[in-house]
Amino acid sequence: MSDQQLLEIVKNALIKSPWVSHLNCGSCNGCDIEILAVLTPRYDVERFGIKLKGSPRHADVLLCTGSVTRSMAPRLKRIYNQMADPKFVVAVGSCATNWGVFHNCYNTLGGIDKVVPVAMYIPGCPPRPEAIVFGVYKLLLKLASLDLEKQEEKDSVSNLTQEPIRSEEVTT
Amino acid sequence: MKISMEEIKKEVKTMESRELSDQTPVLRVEPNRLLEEMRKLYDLGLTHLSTIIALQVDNKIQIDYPLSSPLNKKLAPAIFVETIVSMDKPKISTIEDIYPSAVTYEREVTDLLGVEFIGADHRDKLLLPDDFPDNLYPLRKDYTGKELQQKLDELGVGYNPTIPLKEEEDYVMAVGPQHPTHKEPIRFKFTVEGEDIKNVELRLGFNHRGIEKALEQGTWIKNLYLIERICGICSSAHQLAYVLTAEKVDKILDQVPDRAQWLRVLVSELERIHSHILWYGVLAHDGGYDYMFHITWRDREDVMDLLEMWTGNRVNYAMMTIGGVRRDIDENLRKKMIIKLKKLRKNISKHKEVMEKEKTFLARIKNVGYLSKEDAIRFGAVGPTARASNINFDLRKDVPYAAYKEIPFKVYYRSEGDVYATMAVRLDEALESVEMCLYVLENLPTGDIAIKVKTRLQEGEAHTRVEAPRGEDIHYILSDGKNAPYRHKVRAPTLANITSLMYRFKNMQVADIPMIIRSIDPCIGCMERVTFVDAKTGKTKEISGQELISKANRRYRLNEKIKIFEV
Repeated sequence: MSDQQLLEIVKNALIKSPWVSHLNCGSCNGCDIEILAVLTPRYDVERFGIKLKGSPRHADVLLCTGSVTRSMAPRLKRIYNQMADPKFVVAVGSCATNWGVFHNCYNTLGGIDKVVPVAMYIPGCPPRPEAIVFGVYKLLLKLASLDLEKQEEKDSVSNLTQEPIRSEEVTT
Repeated sequence: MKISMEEIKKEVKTMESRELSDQTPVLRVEPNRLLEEMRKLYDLGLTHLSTIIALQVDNKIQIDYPLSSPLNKKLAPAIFVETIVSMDKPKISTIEDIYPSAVTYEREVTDLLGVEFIGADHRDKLLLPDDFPDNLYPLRKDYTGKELQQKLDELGVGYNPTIPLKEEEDYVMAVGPQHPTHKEPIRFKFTVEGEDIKNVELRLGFNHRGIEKALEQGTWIKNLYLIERICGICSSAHQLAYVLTAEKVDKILDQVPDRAQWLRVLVSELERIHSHILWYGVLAHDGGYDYMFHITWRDREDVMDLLEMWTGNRVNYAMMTIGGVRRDIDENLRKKMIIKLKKLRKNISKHKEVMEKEKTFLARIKNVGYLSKEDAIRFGAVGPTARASNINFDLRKDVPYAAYKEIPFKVYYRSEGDVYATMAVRLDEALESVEMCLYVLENLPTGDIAIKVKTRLQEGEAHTRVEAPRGEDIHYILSDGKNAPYRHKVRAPTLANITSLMYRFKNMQVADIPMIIRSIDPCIGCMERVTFVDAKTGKTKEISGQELISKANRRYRLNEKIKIFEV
């Protein structure tokens, strides 16, 4: 099997059934209960093949909430590094996107993209479950148009102080 | 013998006594007499320490201890004991021998204001990050929030990926297990001997954002929205406590229209219903009863719909404002709500019937995590946790606020004291809340929903305790007449329940950990990963919360022993 074929298989697995892991980086809990609501009978994302996993090592997508407290930043980085490539981060909620209501709080850094590259932003305080489902669906569309060979170099963000990569750069 | 407030005042040797804007008596004692007076007050029945409020006034640090009694109804409203220490190396004796729950509050004060507690063991940081500079205390007035932020950024706190991670336990970290409600970061370190739990240590602060400092930089109106986001599940409880306190400071509480007070009760009770359903659904999930989890969450969507119809949002309703509420209910909406609430009543009754009878589930929660009445009082348990340990105390009944005085309801409490009792209490409370909502909708007074309020509040200080879904939530505000509070102190119910939670692990087994942690409905999350320490060899090992839950389920289902350490 050639490398190209292997990548095709990986990509197919990713689009058909992305496994997500969830991480609270100092959120108020609002986004977290909405993410949970997404899994329950009314919204039920499992019908798209999306499954919430306990360990980031098993996950393709990391759903992050919160404006990243200073205690959590190194841990977020560490967890991101634990995930296997190709990996994608989704920032759920206004404060994960761009600090939001916590912009005056000394112990926050101001968004997931200050620490790790983010592939998709879902705004809202908190985003409705429909918005989260839509966001994940958009991510799947992006994954479908992905060139995995280029992905690797862009994911090697090893330094926290490095400029974060915006969503367009990550996926195109 | 039930002693009254006047007799208490006579007993204590005070330097001076004054009152807050809400007529709460404040007894100021000398720092070196604090321990003695506190012991006296405890013996007189003031057994509940709500929190420790510390603030900088000029060049001094003022420390307040709000005390109350869960058993003596005459002493249910809080009384403040106050002492003042100098800013230069502030020191005060610890009261953890009298009030064990003071430990967490004292560690918080040490972190944020740098007060040293004499007689306490060496204490690590509780709330702030490990690499936070040692002689910088965020809640002192040396820096504004912005300056503090810049300074911390310059020092690179949190940015440096190779921060001095202390010992091996810093690898322990919150990673999402299967369900986000027990997703917030908190770390427990268990010491085990075989399968028995011997000791447990705790580290908080992964979710510490510094809201109290940010509140000092906002305005009275802006703060409404920040307060709400302390917690997304009990958002309106926090907001209610804030607006009531602000109204007490401004002395306009009696002008707030009746209709507004009744609508405040309505939104609080709807929130309680959704929070309790959420809780027992997740309890079922943790107990390996996923079918029930999905059923309860399906039915919970009804109450979310109700809240959305009225407030426009599913979480963070933004309903309260200083002087009233922000949205009214019209006749059409009222009728729709009544229909939905009746459906909800039927569904919750079904949950109650199933969850209180399902044998395999009961085997997981009966006689697990026992907390006796005496211990619940000693460790300062609040809310449903205390009521499950046979304490008949509910702030809605005993220190009524908003319109709770006019609405009939029953306080449920049970004598079992185990995880089952905490579930039964919450099931009953959810049903009672539905009845209260129906009563409010059928007897809603007419009139305005808000009064006009100035953007600056008067000088003064006040506090409010409200019954959030998880228990007592206390807010304290000191206003100096500017357009922001001088100091705003918040203590959420979970912090009060943490001390008793640690005690519940005594003599329990590893398989019971998920259920016991769930029992207090932790708002700052459940354990994600736990560290186990072998009591004999001192070896440590970490496993994730999800792994632990599945191990615990296998233990009960297949009677398979949990092996943490290979023998």
